[in-house]
Amino acid sequence: MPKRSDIKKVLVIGSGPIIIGQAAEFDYAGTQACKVLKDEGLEVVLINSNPATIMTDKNIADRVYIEPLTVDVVKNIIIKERPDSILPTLGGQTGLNFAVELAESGFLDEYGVKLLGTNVLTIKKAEDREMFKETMEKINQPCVESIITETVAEGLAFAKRVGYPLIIRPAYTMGGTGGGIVNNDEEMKEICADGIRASRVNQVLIERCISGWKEIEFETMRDSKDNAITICSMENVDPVGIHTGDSIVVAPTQTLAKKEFNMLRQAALDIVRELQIEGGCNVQFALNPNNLEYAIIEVNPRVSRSSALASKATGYPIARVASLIAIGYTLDEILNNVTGSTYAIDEPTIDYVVCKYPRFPFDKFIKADHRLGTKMKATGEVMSIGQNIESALLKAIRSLELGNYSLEVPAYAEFSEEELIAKIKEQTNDRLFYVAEAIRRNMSLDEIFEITKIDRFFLNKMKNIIVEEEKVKKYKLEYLTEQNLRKLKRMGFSDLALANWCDEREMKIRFLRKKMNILPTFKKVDTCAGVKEAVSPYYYSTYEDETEIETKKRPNTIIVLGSGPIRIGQGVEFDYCSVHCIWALKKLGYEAVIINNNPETVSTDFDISDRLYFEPLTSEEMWNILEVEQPKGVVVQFGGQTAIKLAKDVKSAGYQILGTALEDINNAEDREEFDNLLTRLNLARPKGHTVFTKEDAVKAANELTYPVLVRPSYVLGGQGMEIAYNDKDINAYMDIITRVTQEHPILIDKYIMGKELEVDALCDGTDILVPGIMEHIERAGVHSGDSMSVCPAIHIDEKLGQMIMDETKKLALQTKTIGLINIQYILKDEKLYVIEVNPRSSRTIPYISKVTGVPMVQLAVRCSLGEKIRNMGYGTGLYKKIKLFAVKSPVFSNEKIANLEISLSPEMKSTGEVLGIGRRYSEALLKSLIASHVNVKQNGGILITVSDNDKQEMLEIAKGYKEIGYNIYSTKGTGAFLNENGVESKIVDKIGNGTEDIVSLLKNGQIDIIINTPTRGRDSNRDGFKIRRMAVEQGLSCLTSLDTARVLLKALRLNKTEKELEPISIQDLEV
Amino acid sequence: MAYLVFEDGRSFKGDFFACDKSIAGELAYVTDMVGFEEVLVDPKYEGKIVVFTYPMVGNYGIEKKTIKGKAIRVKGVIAKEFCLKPSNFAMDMTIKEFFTENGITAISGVDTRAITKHIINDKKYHCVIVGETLKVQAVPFEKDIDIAKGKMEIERILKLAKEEN
Repeated sequence: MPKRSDIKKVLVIGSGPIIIGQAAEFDYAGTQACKVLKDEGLEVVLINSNPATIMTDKNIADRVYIEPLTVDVVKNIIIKERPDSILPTLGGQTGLNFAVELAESGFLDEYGVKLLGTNVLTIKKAEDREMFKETMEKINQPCVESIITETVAEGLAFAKRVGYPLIIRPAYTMGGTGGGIVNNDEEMKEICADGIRASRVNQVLIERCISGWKEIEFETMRDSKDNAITICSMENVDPVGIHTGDSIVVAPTQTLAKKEFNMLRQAALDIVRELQIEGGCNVQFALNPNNLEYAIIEVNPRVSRSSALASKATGYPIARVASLIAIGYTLDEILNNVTGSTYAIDEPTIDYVVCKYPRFPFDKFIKADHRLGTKMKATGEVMSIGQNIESALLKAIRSLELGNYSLEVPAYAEFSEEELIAKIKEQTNDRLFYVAEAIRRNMSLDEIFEITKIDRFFLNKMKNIIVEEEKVKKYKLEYLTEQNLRKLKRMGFSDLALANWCDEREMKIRFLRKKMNILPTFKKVDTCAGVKEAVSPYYYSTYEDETEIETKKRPNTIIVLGSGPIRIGQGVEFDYCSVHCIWALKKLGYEAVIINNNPETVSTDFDISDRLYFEPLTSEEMWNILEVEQPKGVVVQFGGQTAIKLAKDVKSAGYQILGTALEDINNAEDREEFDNLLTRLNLARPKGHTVFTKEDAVKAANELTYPVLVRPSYVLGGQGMEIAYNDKDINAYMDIITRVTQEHPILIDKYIMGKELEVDALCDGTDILVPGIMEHIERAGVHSGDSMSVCPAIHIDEKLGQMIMDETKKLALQTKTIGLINIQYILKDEKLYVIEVNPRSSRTIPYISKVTGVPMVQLAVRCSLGEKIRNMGYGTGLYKKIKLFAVKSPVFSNEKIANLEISLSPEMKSTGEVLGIGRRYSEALLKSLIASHVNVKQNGGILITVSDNDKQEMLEIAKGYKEIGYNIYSTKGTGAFLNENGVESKIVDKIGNGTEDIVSLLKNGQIDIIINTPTRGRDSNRDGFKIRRMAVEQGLSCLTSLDTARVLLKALRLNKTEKELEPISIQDLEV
Repeated sequence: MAYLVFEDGRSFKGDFFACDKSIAGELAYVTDMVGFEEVLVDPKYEGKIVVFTYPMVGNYGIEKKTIKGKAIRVKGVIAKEFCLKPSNFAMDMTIKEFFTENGITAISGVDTRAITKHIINDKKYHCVIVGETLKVQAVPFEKDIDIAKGKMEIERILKLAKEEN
């Protein structure tokens, strides 16, 4: 069927900010979809609140709305733009939910909007528990048996029917408390009763326990002619019980015989046919490892994290094909762009194995609960490609950038066997390394299997790695004969790991390897296992006979280093920068090559760069590619810290870094050099001292006068920065930090409680260009990634603006920046203090580029290649002030990580961001707050409990909330203070005291907003911590900075509902 | 050590897996990622030497029931890697045991993607699989085609192998 002629203008719904469970994969899918729809000649309208994405770029859709993702806003945009269709299956769960709501309310019909792709009934059949069950029963597909009940008797009857073990999950409890696995009637009686009690609605879900079964996924595609194919099968190394997003996954399936494979494949196809899916669909199975029994876990009738992985694993562009199906094409009509000669109806076949490894935030969240379960905790993931499981696994581990180059964590050698078993049982993010240590100690694989249910196939592969590792450790260089070294390289061992075991330097191994002519060969990813000639330029490294890319000098080629997995502090914004760098290079006539390993991103899409290397971002792998490509130069300033870290290895290999030179990058990152530079330039920074002992610390703090910012000069054990207000704070901090002997000094700086300002500047060595000055809303002391910020700055007059520009120019020129530089200032009493300088692209580049219309990355690339800013057409100095206000807000995934301290601090915690654009500041604020899911009800209950330092300042804010109609509740201290000062407040008991304590207040739904500023110490036993966690788990807005509370009040005073907010498209942002 | 030598002289070095009987025959590639035992008994591959494009073969072992009563059709099997420690509840034997029992020549450790591409791009199907100690005369090609180049290459490899020893 050809393209439907009734479709002219399509609304695409994006997925919003990056949170745990919904990451960059939807930027990739959405971007691919918009591109293909535009190519088909359709007008595309896009809504997404996330400004860090590629999809919200001006050139991706005809009309781009960076607006809050709420039903009312989507409605307003539909009314304004009048699209004839809506494509909801590319924006994750968010997009899907909107589609259902809009369709069911009759709104879509009213405005004549067609739902493209999968229809509402299908979505509901897949999403609604009961309907899904019925549908599956109709086609004889087994679901996991379960009941929802309010009595123990029903639980026992259910147990009689399906047998033990069973899982009991109480409905609506905080942090999943009160449930568990039961194995017999006795346990059922006890735990079921507990669960019913713990549940707010006295209800439990009892489910057959299939933990330990194999978790298998199929990605499928179906069209309106009922053609249906499976694109990729995937096997989770971790069994059912660990969320698939947190599992190590390999593709294709490894341990399924044809009988099992076909059984599940057929089931997947039967399901998508019965559901009448039009587009992509993910089907997850649990498979009993001991027989042919299976159960459907979940069906996702949309593109997903797994479909992004399947796309990158096979080269099959799932989002593109799904979009084309949505506008009427069928699989037999859609050309496969990778081969250029086959069609989308051909199932891909691969001749390698892919491994996905999740990236967890626990390197930042040291104290949070590291155990994995059915709730996803990973922020991102890496993918690797190899010719065997061993190499895919080892490459994936290197790609994580956690300092592991093998399966060995030396510190684990200290654990006793009992401790090790206990660690393995805990199923934390490090489980694989504990398992490896157990194998190293010759623990039987059967025993490990019994604990972990990781298939013996995978355990044996790990054992292969460890056996070789032990040989290298024992015989060292002697073991590295040509034959052995080739074998080791084929198994994926890194030169660095081998070198460490041989007590040699990495270069020695590299040299040895090259002398033996053991060189990597690059193979193509082509969807067809080499059977058809592929035109896609998508490569991975192996150590085979034949390479598919010629080694030669390429003076017109430039390599871009990507940013690896999404993690706290390095999100999708760096992929945005990398992709824009590639586009800029291509536009300038260069061949752009990217190295990256993140399967979720746009940069690893096969048609973005001229060549894509899906490889770990390590020096070894980068050198290998440099030697083959022999490029003109390498760009390191767009890939975040990942790329910056590799800069010295680019240089040492004799290649040119385009843009700011290596020495200058280093000088800016080195504290001492940086201090010297500021002194030379006569620029102020907060005064500071370096100390080693508690006594010196107290002395230094007193000399500087409180408050002071205290932090280790070298971060160990996660003890980050803190603000100290008195000797007591300093003593407490030093007590904690000196528990471990300190080799590095502690830095104590005067904490300047001023306004934080931020600029991104472009510099060509002569001139600078600053698109706009950003002002942070929370005072200094909150990490810039976690603070709200507004552009243009509100409290900066012309004189101050000039001062900022002068200092910025001095810094940019003196640091010899060529390209981008990010500078953070504190403004206090009309005086500027420099607090941070980063000679590279920053988190704010996408948003500042979008709201000002200055394509910062493109211009930076041109600077790096020698062009001058004054010839670029954007002028020099400070760019024209935008006429609107843009407010960026952080978005957190706090509810996903149990036991995480949520209060804002100098340590970054947010996973994503949103933008609100308005004609007035308060309107931009309101949009931004709505988009970040802060409560914006006009009245309700507010609980205020603040530290002594904050009470005075709190008064005005509390008064304001009272005025607009909020009931104020507070704890004793705060309450007494408020009441004394004429702000009426109801005093509630502390946790556990009295019947009307904070717990019951929060549970009863009387509170909408909590303002809680933490006392120092960050002790998880304190009430404050408990209140904050409870707020997060109840889904309440918990503000831990008075500045946030103040702007929320300002936004609420606008007294506008979502419906009344005017949607503004990026294309309308004329400056 | 084992060598796969094409009729045009292109050769690949790998290792015998299980049975090390030298053979000659026509190559066929298989792109299936699962179901290797079904391939072994598929009449389509009668007398052929099959090369699997998927690099890991035999991961789930062999369930005898699957191929019971069916004749083995393939003459030889080429894979990047055969699984030594397979895992599946229904497995009766490993692929190594199966090859040994049935006297099927198999080699691994070769660049199977390069082999597949050679078959497809250069339309070369005839080959021999030889060990380093075997005499050339023992491995005649089955079809009367121009094999002079291939023979020369085999001789060269054998000579090299001897020198290495």
